[in-house]
Amino acid sequence: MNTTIDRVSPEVAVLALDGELDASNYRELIETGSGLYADGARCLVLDLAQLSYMSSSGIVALHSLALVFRGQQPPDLEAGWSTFHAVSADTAEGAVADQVRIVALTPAIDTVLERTGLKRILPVYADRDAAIAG
Amino acid sequence: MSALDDLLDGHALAGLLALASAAAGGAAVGLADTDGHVVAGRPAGAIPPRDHPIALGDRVVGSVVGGDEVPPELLALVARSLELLLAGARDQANQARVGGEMAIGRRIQLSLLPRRFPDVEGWTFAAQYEPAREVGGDLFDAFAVREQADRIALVIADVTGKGIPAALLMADVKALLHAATDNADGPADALRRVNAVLVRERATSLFVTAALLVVDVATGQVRYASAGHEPPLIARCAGWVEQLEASGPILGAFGDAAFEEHMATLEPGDALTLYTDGVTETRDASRRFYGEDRLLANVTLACGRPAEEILRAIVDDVTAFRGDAEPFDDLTLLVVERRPR
Repeated sequence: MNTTIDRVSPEVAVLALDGELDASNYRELIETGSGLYADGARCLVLDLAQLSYMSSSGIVALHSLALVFRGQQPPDLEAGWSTFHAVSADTAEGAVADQVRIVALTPAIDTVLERTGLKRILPVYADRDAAIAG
Repeated sequence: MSALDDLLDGHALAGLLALASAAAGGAAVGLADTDGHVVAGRPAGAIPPRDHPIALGDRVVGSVVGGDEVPPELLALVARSLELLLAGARDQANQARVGGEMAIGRRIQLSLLPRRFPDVEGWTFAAQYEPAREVGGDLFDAFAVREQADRIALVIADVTGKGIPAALLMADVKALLHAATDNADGPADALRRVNAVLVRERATSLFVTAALLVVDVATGQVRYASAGHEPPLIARCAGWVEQLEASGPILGAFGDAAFEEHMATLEPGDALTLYTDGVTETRDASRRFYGEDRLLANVTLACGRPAEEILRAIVDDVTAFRGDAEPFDDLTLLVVERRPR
């Protein structure tokens, strides 16, 4: 999978994913997104137009990025059981959270996000401009 | 424990030092630890004038030492050889650790699968669990619901992760699903309870997809709910397939998750097929997916046949499709047939 970063402003970054998001590269995506957050980005727009496949590892990556952009640390993916009790749940009830936004959802990826419930925390927009505008 | 222990325990060190000594006309060549103590070879104790460091990664773990008459290139050559031995020993230890972890994860996972199916008049169960090389987190289960005569619960689930953490979470989820199904008001309520426990008490980077069905074996009525899982199929004996869609998010990710519950009826001769994404995401040599369409077409052809034959038809077709490609995910299927009258 290739990623292209378009830093449209200090607060907003667009990350375009091209290829397949799976167990072999989902950690890199989390690191790339976390790097953008550390660099001051507070809104991440994920452009999935060229993403042909997303495995369940991709779900973990998108969920982790949603946590990162809410200012929370994602669980340590290596630590396993010891982290199970250490981190708090992600969704404070009723909180508005749209720091990570999706554009250009293909039908295949749409099915995955819909089925897993990820659309609840990742609002979907028709195009980049709409997503950036929020 | 010193980083040199792997060398001192092995047989290669003494031979290498003796060879170097012989090459230097019998001069003393030894191995020193980071404190400068000679721990192998000659001369014991005293610190000879020449040395060459031994590095493991970016850390110096010791040095090769020798007298003035030993050429520096020879010391460097011995040091380099010992570095390679140490790196090899470390890699081997890592491989053993990872392999051991995988084996433990696999044992946990296998121990979670039901040893036998409920004995129900008029119903037949068949299941396939084919693990990939790396341990995944698939689970299937079929059990009688406590204190509810004629009720059988069917579970299929998949943890988004591998190894011991995934296997432990699966053990946890299996127990939670059992308890919740026994006490809840139907499968949607059971999933809601399990999700609440996972979010509140076991927040984790791992998630679980699951489909939970409660079957009334007297009437064939099926109540079902799903947590982000692939929809179970009903193979109607009349020759078509229905997908049991029920919306609900993955377990463990959302505090306020709600799960739909729907109903269907299994007539005599109909069969349920529960599967994980290891089936639809099987790839052939050119990395194409097996896919839902092919699965549905294949199950349609098997409609009206006994559970074991439906299972075989799916597994054979998936295996033929995969060809020589390496299976990268577990292949898990549960088929439950209401036998024709």
